[in-house]
Amino acid sequence: MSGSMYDLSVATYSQEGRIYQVEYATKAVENSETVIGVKCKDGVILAAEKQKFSRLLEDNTNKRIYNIDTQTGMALCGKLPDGRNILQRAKAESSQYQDMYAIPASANVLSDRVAQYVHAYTMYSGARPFGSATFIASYNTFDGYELYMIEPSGNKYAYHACTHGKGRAICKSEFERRSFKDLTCQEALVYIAKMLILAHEEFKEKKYEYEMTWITDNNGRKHQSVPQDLINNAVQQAEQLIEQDQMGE
Amino acid sequence: MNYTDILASKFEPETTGTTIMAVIYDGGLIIGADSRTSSGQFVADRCADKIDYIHDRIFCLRSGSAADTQIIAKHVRYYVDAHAQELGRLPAVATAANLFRNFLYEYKDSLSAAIIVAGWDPYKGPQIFTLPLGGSVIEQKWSIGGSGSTFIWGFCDSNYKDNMTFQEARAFVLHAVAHAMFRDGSSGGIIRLLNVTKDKIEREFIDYKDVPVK
Repeated sequence: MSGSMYDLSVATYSQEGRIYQVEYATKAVENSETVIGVKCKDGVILAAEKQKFSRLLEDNTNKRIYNIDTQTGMALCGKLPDGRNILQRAKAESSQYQDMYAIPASANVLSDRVAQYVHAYTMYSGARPFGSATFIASYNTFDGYELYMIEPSGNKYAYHACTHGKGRAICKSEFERRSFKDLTCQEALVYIAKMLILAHEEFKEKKYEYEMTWITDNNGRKHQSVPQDLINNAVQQAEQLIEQDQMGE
Repeated sequence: MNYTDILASKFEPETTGTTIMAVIYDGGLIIGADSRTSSGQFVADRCADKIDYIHDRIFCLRSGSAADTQIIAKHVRYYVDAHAQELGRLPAVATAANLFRNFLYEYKDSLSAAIIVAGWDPYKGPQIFTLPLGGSVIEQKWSIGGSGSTFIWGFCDSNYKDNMTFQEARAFVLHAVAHAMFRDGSSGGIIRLLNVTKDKIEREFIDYKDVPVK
């Protein structure tokens, strides 16, 4: 894909009506670590793989999934500094909304505000688009569990399962194969770990950490980290499942 | 010194010296108000409607300066409308109360406005929020306001019961407002009632001849 002279500015369309700078920003996300969001029978889970690119890194820090509200979480995919800027904005929007309207911002409103913010950076030549896709998971009494993904273009959709990053193709095919709607969040953890492990097949000698959070009927419907022992168990079982599949081949 | 200047100095600002009331009953709430808007001793409007529409199931009762409360209600109506459109469902009564409160608190030094916000929403059912002069908010099961309310505290404290039926609550509001109008010079005219439930809004007009206390 060559942009020739139509890719120098985000304020320029190509002759086929494409905006190359936005596509390049999406490429930045596609080349980064995989993030998954999935709605299960009794809740919604966000998960991300983190490569420990240096032995000097502290374990289980350097988060990529944050709280915006007690019942709303956001996962960052792509360039993390860009993602953190979007996160700041989402936190501010959520907090100001609650200040003004005396109710927490529901996911469709919040994701709309985030999408508008991200989109704004695709309109002016003085700034570049965000190289980051963000996932919003939330629960409220009226709308139940919700999951949204906002891409660098400003596109946002509600999903029952979504993924971005290097391993998105593998994850998408797993979503088609397995009906997560019929699994509880606890049951789904092992399959999520499996997807994240398969996502970095080519780098399997490297050390990875897995960050997972959930909002479920069983944890008071709050957005919290999945307990570390549950993550570790899921990863162990997932590795066994992968071995079995490979031996079966 | 011309005639207009002499008259102008005698005009006092238009106030809703008034009696306003809201009561929650089992299944909804009833709002009642008198209809007198006074400008000093001159009754500027003898058949005013002090029950202002904010949203389909949210209303506000205004007391204090008519100008201040009308403008604030106008702004809140706009904000609630825009908010409800984005939300895609009925707004919370607490939302309207919060928007009113932000005005009353922020501009407390310039305003003379006390408001009762009353309505029904699908999250918490019927609710009443009283917003007195300083900009505080209190949620109550029943609330009275305006200059006429001072004369009926005893009546209301004695006669209010939790979980009244619609008929009991209607009679309570009707008699309370009538008693206040009887003794308060700034309240009078006719009585307007509004019944707010999940399914409907019902307005009632009690003509002067039917006011129970005269």
